[in-house]
Parts: sequence; C-alpha cells; structure tokens
Amino acid sequence: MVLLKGDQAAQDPWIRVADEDPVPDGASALLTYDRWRRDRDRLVLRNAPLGIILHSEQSPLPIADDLPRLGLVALEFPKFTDGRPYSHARLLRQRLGYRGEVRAVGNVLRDQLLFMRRCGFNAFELPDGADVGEWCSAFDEISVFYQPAANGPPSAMDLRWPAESPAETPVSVFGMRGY
Amino acid sequence: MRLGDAHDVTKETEAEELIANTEADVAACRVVEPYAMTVEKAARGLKPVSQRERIRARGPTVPYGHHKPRA
Amino acid sequence: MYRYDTLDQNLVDERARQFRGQVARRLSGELSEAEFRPLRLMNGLYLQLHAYMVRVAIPYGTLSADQMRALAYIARTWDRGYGHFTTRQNIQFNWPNLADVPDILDALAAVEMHAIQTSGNCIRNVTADAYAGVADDEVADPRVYAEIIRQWSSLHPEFSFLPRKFKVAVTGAPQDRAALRVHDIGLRLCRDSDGALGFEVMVGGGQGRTPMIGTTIRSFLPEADLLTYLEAILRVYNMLGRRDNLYKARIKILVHSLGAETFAAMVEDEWHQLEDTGPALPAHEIKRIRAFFLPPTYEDLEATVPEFEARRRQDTAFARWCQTNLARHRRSGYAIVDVSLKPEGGSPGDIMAEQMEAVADLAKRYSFGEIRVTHAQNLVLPHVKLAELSAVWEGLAAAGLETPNVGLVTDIIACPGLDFCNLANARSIPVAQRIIERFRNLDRQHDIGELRINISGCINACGHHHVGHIGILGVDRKGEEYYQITLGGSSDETASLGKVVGPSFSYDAITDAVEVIVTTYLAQRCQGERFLDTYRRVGAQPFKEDLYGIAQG
Ligand code: SF4
Repeated sequence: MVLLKGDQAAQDPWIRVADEDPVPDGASALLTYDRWRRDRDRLVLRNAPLGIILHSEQSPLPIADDLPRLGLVALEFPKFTDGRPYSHARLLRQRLGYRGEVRAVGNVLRDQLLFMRRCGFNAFELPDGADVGEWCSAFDEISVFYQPAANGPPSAMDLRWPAESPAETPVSVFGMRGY
Repeated sequence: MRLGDAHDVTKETEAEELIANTEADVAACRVVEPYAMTVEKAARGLKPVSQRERIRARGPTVPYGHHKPRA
Repeated sequence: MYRYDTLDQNLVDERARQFRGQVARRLSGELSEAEFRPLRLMNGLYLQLHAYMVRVAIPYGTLSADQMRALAYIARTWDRGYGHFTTRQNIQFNWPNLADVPDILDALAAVEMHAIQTSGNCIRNVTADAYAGVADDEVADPRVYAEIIRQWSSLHPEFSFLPRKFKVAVTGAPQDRAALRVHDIGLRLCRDSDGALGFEVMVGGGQGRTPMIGTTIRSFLPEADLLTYLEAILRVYNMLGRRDNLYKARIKILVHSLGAETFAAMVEDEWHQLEDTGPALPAHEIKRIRAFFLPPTYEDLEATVPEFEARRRQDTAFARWCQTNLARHRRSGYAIVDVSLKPEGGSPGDIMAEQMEAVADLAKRYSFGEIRVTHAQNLVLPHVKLAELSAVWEGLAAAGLETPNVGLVTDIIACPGLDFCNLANARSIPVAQRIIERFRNLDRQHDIGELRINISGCINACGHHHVGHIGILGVDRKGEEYYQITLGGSSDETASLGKVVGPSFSYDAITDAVEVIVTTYLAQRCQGERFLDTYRRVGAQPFKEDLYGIAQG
C-alpha cells in the first residue's frame, strides 16, 4: 500500500487493529466501528491517537460525538462502484465539522481521486506500486467544478458571483465564444 | 474474425481452453471479449443457434445509413 | 439557447482531453477492458453487438442549427452517415472506431456539446418538454432549470457512483410531454397561490423490469430550493438505495419499500440540514440562465394567413401534414412544426447526415436557428411563421422528412433492439417497419386517430413499452424472438402502466396481433374516443377475446 496525503507520498503511522487483538499502547491505533463501540469506555482513557474505520454501509453520524477524539476516520470502498463513502465524507466535513484526516481505503482508483478530494477526503491508500506522481496528475485533469465542495478550489458559482461584489452581472468568465 | 474461421468444439472444457488461448490477442487489443457460442452444422458451414449470434455474425437485418442488409 | 462561458467550455475541453488520455492508455494495453469500462461508461461509450456506440447528450433536447451540422459532420466522418435519436432526447452513433472517439468528443466540444453522463450509474442527461418556451399552455420555461440541473449534476463528486442510473425530467406545462411520472425525479413547474414559481416534485417513477408511476413527495418547492432539495433526495438515495441487487437498485424500489411518506420525511429532514452547506441557487443565477432562454424577436403577425389557408384547402398532402405535424405556438402567427423520423421503411429515430443538414438549414432560415428533439424520437422546428409553413414543408419533403404521421399509429417509438443492442432479446426495428407498412394508408391512420405504439427489445424498456397505448416487448424463447403485448399504458399527465394482455406472439404473428387490437378498438369505440379512452372504458376483455379467440379470465 502507498499512502497519499494531500498530493504527496507519506509514511503511515496508523496500525490497523483486528477486533480480537489487543490495542497497542502508545501507538496510533485504527479500530473498527464495532470495536470502538464495544470497548469505548476503556479506549477513551488511552493517551495515544485513535482512528476509526467505517465500512461503506456505516454512516458517520453515530460517531458524531466521538469525532473530537479521533485523529483519523478511514472510509472503506469495498468496490469502486460503491459510492456511499462520498456522502459519508461530505457529512463528516460539512455537517459534523470534522477537521482530522479522512482517508479513502479499499478499492481506490486513480480516476476517482478528484471526486474523493472534492468530497473532503485528504488521504488515500493507493495500491502497491502506484506511481504517486502519475496518480496525482489526476487532480489536475479537471479544473472546473459546478458544486460547492468540502475542500478545494472555488465552484463555478463562486467564480461567477464573487461574494464581495454581488453585482447585477456576473464576472469576466462570461466571455462567450462565437462559432 | 469471421464465423468461417471458427473452431468448433463439442465439449465445454475445450471451449474454455480456446478462450484461454486468446489471452495474447486480448492483451494486444486485437480482440475485446472472447466468448463461446452454440452453433449447428448447416449445409454451408456453421449457423449460430440464437438469433443474436446470427445478427452478430451477419450484421443488422434492417437498412441503416447508406447500408442495405444482406438478403 | 444557453451558451457556454469559459468555465463551461473548459470543463468539456478538459473532459475530452482526459478521455483522450484514457483511450490512449487502453489502446496501448495499459488499461484492460475491465479497467477501461467504467471510464468509457462515464463518457457515453458502450460496447454493442457489432461495435462501440457513442451516446451524445442533447441537454433537454435543445439543439442549434450549428450543433445539428456538427452531428451531421460526425455521422459522415466517423460513422456510417447517420445517427439515431433516442427516447431520452440523445443521439447515438453506432459504428465509431475506439481510436476516433476522442476526435468525436473534440468535435462536440467545439459546438458546446459532450457525451458526459450519458451512461453509468450517475445523474443522466436531463430531459424536458420538447415544446419548452413555445407551448401555449406553459407556466414557465423548463429549460432554465434543466440547464441549472445539467450544471449541478455534471461530474457531481458525491453522486457519480449511485446504486443505479438516475434520470430527471422537467416540464413547465400542465400537459406532460416529458413523461415525468416514469422518471426517477419528475419536476413540474407551477405557481403557488402568491404567484411565486416553484416545482411539484415527483419521485420514484421508472420503467424496466419493475415499472412504477412516480409519487408526488412535495406539491410546491420554491425555485430557490431546487438544488438543495435535489441534493437531499440524491443523498438519501445514495446512502440507502440497494446495492446488492442490480434489479432492485433504482430509487423507485427504495421509495416503494420505505413508503413514499417515510421517504419524503427523510428527504425533508436531510434538506433542512443541508440549508447552509448545500448548493445555493441565488436569484441572480436563475436570472443569468433565464436570459439565455428569452423568446426570440418575434414579429407581430396576424393569427390567420390567407395564403396558408388557401394552400391547406387546395393541397391535400400539405393539409394532411398540417393536421398532424403542427402544434399551437404561444405567439399568434407562428406554429410549432414536428418533423417525423418515422417514414415507411425507415428505422424510428434514424436520420441521415444530409437530412440533419437539411433540418439545420430550415431551422436557420425559418426557426431562429433552433431545433428540438422529442422523447418520441422526432424533431421539432419550434418557431415557424404560418406564412412560411409551405416553404418549410417543401424543404422537408425535398429531404424525405415530410412524413405526416405525428401522434398516429405509425409514429412508433422503438429502441435499437437486437439489430444493434447487446442486451436485446428480439428485434424492434423490423417490427416497427412491418407495422408502419401495414398501416401505411393515411385515411386509415387518420380514422384510427391518436395511438402510440412503443417497442422495446428487452425488459430494460428503452422503447418505453410500458407506457405505450400498445406496448410491445421482445422476449427470448429458446433463442427465438417473441413479443409480449401490453395495453393501456400512457406517459402523459394521466400516466398509467400497460397491462400484459396474454401470451406472446412470434415475430411473424406480431403485426397481425396489432391489427386485431386496432380493429377491436374501432369496433368498440364511441364517438370521439381515442384508443386509450376506449381501452380505459372497456378494459382488456374484448381485446383478449379477439386476440386469443377464447374468453380469458
Ligand atoms: S430496451 Fe433492451 S434491447 Fe432495447 S435498447 Fe434498451 S437494452 Fe437494448
């Protein structure tokens, strides 16, 4: 696995802990939602960083109150066609105001990175051997976004109607082409 | 690739083997998706059993664009 | 018409460039077909029975004359000289080479067109009333909102991997010419008691294996809330729609299993929470878009034109055409012209490159350069002066486009079927052709009156058979083509789903069966009744008796 944070390869300090295994002391531990629910009372007493991994059918809303304690929320794509984590990422960022790392794990494809980032993901687990530079070039392929985003460049609406000048006519992007 | 060039086999395992043999062609993009079809032996060569394969082999049965269908 | 600004243009240019890279990776073997598949499907590229097929979006069915010319150029340069208009107001090219597809997308981008989201499990090209802006019963122009939805839904980061495809239609008139109730979302523009503009929102209609009529979940949604409300519906669907079974993944199944009321409550709840972070639709943006759809500069004309009336009296062929192929325009002295793509011997919805150019020329000279595509696979010249109808008719006739049958029994909707489509069970086109030939006599067609026959080659229902007054569905019986008949479907504001009338018919028997149904209707009808009225009054029984010879239960 290659970890991409923002647009750079990064070391992964997080240890994925299987449900039956003990949670290692002092290390950044990534737990399943079930494990977190089961051992929550003990886990909150720990000093080291905690993260939760949510499967695509698990909404982040039930962990809303726990978010301040979490350094990482990983959202798993079991198949690239399962689009639920996109909604979950936006809920985390826009509804729940989560500011920590939101990581895409599972079946992550190059041609979906841009959508993921728009929805608020800021870390991505790429398959072994992925050429980080090449994958990152996917971020530059499209520069126009019609939808407001959890993070990233302004939307077409923002560019057409800048907040400072709610003028009667939209700004310069209005250059029409003739045939 | 035409029906005239077909390999006809009677056992399913042989068909699977044939498909496996096309891997190089698939990799080289000469073939997109190889598959086996059921045919019957007609007077002049092989005739696919299903209408779908007959149309796939011979083209649309209706005129389109400037093309007229073969009788 | 809407014109791209530099942002819109950059997006389609970048998208075309991105796909060029993906095709190059595919052709070099770097991408396998399995890896390429999701990428090509996001760009409207299918693998069909004989070749690749490109589906080009015609947002809300509106085309300029120049865009039509570009489609003709594409048909001639990279296809086999023709194109096929679909029931979703799109056009399909059936024979392109993969290596040429990037050039096709560039040619489209040059005239502000694209193939984005014409396939895949995303929000598909938005459709609208083909008479938008000109219908005399219109409350407001639906294209304004369809364009807003086009932009909002294009490359939507959250909703590009939905459980299944998602279709939205918008109309601005009480008469439904866009089949709202068989769409995932249908939006009907209306005014509240204070005269403010908004939408009736219908959800969960659809065809395919489990056809359903959509339910109204909100009778009035203020226009400013359009996008946040759509976002709420889509989010509930994206999170809760079934992903374990392809046939249960459409929103109609979710709405049905939750119950429309529960579903509506969930949407309302999500919508209230979206107020601050959802996509706003400020009044100035609506105004900006509306400016593109202002009426053209009409002349003040008399409602009756003596030359036109005289020709109608003297020339039966012209009169016939006027009777079926004209609709009332909201401006006096103008007419809406329907151009039938259902000639005898043709394939429903097909049009040659030369014919596209002829239509483009006529549009330029006589219709402010505007063309529409209807969901019945015909074209429309939306604003023609009554005084120029003769010239338009002659121009159409010169191109073989004057078939006077819009709305009649030979104006058949048909999907490509087994002649082209990989998923088909049976052919659609030759069935349509045989029926058209059988009813070729125009007097007889006029006697029969309004009758819609819809044909699909398989249960996917691209030919909308569920909502045909007579629906024909291709089924496979041990590799042989059979056809099941449904009766009583309708996609207008009185939408209903057709009911299966009995056992299916062979390819050779289906035309006779249709004729029996028509004969039964003629025998049963009361004065002034259309086929649908008669069917709704007498039910299926008389048709069953005549079709199968015995009284069935
Ligand atoms: S209805 Fe079936 S046969 Fe017809 S175009 Fe759709 S998928 Fe193909």
